[in-house]
Amino acid sequence: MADPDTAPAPLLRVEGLTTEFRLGGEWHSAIRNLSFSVDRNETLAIVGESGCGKSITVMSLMRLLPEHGCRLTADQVNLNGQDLMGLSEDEMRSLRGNRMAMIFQEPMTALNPVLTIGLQIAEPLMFHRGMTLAEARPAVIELLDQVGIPSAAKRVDDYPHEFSGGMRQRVVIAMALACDPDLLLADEPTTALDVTIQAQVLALLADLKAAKGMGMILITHSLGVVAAVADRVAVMYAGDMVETAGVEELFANPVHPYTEALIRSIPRPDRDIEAVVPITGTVPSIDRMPVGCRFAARCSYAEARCTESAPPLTPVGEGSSHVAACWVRAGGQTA
Amino acid sequence: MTRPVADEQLIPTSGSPVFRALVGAFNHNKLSWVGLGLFMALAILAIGAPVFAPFDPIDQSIMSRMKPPSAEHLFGTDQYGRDLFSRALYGARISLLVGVVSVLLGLVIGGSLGVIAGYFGRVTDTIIMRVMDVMLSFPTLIMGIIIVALLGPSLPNVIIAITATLVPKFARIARAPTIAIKERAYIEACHAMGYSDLRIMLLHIVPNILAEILVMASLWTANAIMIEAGFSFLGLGVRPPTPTWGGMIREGFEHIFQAPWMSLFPGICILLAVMSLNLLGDGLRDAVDPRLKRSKEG
Amino acid sequence: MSALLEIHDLRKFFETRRGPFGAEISVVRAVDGVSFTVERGEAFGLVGESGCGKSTVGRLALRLIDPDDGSITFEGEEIAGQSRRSLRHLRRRMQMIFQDPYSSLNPKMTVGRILGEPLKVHGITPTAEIPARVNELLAEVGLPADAASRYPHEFSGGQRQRIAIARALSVDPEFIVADEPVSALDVSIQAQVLDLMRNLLQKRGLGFLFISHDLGVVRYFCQRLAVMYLGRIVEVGAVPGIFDEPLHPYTRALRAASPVPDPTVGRTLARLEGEVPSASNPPSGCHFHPRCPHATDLCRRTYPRWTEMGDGRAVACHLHDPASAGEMSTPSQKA
Repeated sequence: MADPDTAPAPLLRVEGLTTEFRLGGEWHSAIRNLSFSVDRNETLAIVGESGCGKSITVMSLMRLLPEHGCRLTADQVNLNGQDLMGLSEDEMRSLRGNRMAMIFQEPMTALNPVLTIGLQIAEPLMFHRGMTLAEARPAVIELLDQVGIPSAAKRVDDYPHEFSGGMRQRVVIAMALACDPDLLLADEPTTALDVTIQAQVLALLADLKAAKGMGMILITHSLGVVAAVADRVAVMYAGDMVETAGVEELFANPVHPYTEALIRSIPRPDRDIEAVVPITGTVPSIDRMPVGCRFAARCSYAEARCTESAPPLTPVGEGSSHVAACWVRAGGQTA
Repeated sequence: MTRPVADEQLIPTSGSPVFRALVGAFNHNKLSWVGLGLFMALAILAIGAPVFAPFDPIDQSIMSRMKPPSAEHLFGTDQYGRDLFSRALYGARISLLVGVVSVLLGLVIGGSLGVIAGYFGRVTDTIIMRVMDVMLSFPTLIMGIIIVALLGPSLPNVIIAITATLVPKFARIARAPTIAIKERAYIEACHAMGYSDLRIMLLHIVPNILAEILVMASLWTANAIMIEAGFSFLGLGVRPPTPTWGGMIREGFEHIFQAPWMSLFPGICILLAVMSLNLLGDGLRDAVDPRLKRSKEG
Repeated sequence: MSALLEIHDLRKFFETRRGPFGAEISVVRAVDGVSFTVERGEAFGLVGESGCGKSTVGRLALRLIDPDDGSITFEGEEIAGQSRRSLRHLRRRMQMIFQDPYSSLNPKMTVGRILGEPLKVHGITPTAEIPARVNELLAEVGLPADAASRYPHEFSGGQRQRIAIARALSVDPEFIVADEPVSALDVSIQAQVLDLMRNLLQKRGLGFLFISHDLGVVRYFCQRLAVMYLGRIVEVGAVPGIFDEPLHPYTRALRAASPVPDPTVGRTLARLEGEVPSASNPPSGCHFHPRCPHATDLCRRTYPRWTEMGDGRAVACHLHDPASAGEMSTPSQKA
């Protein structure tokens, strides 16, 4: 690994990101004080279950949240040296689809059914690069080719309903990559796809990321997908980032009790497991978050101090990049 | 042993989903409360007409002919000296009765036909809906004239006429959600349980389409009241001297310049009744659509 | 003692109309000659991707839909040809658990009514004792007694699935068809529900037909399984043998593409090329040949015979059929 003093600055650096929503007259935080970074040519997987805030995280990065009833604060959200928090909506618009792009879970609804895919892929080029439709056409065909759509030149004028789910997701990827973004945000991009198609699309994303040197944030609930494609992993629970580590380190040595419990509760296709160990209890709802560590109520390691205050992310070992937010299992030194 | 889930948190909101959604929607759209309140007030006045009416509605008085509104005669008097306020109260009974009863009958008959058509599909569906289409193709007024001409003008016949126009409409709006719901997993579960078709339709499908139907029911009650007024205005409805709002307007036409209040007040009554029901219906409509979907997510 | 459920050569076709006047009628061969057995107290898995027909098989087994051909024998009784009316008596003995916990419970009924209705309709419990029995059922699935007075929307997905399981158990069935019962649930909740079902299976001696696309879940829960592709079973075998040594190339591809929560194992997901073909226009010969890395001319011409391999394993593939060995020409090169 490069020497931390002379290593290039990360592509994306986020510090202290908090997003709050107003519910029943009170502000509640959906994500709380998140800090993470993504390098070029690196895939950061954000993994967690429903309600943990992983989607809200990337929506916050893109500033795609509603204006009213929603409050975004951060110490820093820095993309390529540019601070995103201070930008106006117009300035953000010129970044979206251009320097940072997003793909969503449902390929069926991500495409406009009444426009050809050619037009939809050309649109970012027309909007951000000022091309005309005719000028964009060769680039569109090239993109379709890159994402693995056979007979690209013929299919460019087809409509979304003429494609299967996996093909549609490739079209969506082509749209996202049209302007060569630095950062790709993928929110559960393969969850709605069949297993064999999922493998194709994940491999495609990995290839494209490497070819274009993009940074990628991949959101998923599947630890299997994480193991297959991530370089680094951030685990989220109830709005907090509870553990971050390199992918091999995370699976070999899960420190946060939630991460450990999660790994132990999943059956595997490659080996027999005597018993999956369920995590008892449920995620607390956003308006009834407990004081202190939010996982304490379900944690087998919990001690008194866990319900008093929330633990910060602390390195697991001396100077390690593996950090976990746990009083019991990750000591007390701050990063 | 099954692991006990002692620390399971049940989401605390409780109570019938329909009631909660209703109150929620009404609070969102404050005018719905106005509509509800207004309609309740009219209903109370109508039901309590014998109590509230200061005069006998068919009592004529040569002395008091064509008097403008005053403290004694709130709405003035007509050409026979009858107190228009009292007549309006009794007229309200007719209008509201016809409105509510026609809609209820239309809902039960038409709704049942729609559910049956949607549930069984195929031939049953085709037959029922084609008959409904034929009924729908008759303009309301023509339908009314035909029925009244055949059966004679009377209150029950007016109700029959209006019900006949409402049955196909209710059938239509009951059929579509039935078709959507019958594919849902909980209906499949009913089949897997061996429940009879009647039980499934009555206990499982109807409660889930009731909300949409009730929205239209309240809006169509307004329509029914207007249609009744139209029938009475044309002389197709209840026979005089029984007061009806439409009939009062018609009588007032002949004296429109000398005694405009004769037509004006019954017109305002119709306006209030229709408006209150529309406000109520709009509130119900809000209750049906987005809210129920939101409260569905655990 | 006869098997609990015996399916033989089951077929189900759906017609889809095309063309302005319904001219072209294309037929989707959703289930095209499926045979297998489920023993008492056994969990039999049915695995495949979308469109393979596994859900349809599940519904046919329960006689929720009518088969077009073939036989279904439940505890020695032939039920394929019976009318719905005459099947009523069977409803107590076979039940279903559905995929979507959000639509499998009537939103307008309290949980108590949902669980009490089968007891009432089938006359299982005297009316006065129904509330007590409902509480017993709730306890059996790990829910508190006050759940009976609440509505489904007040419960989380995992809790709703437990209610659905309680409903299925209320009639004391011998056989349960579970159609993707945990796919819509969060990962850690999956473990809870799988655990519950496993306990109930053992305690009550139930037979399960477990339909899923998730190999890890199937490996954990089932003793035997069948792999389906485009309406037909391509391989049958016992867990774990069928996972550790898959015979059919599709089974191999499915296994290789399934993400494993372990970066030291599943780092690159093996890619299976091509799309899942259309069920209304299946390829000639073996349905899988367009995507199969070992396809030969014989595979393109003739559908493979069903070959018993001993030890309860069987497969439909020319590569494993000794009778085909002589007829196969040299494998043609795939791009």
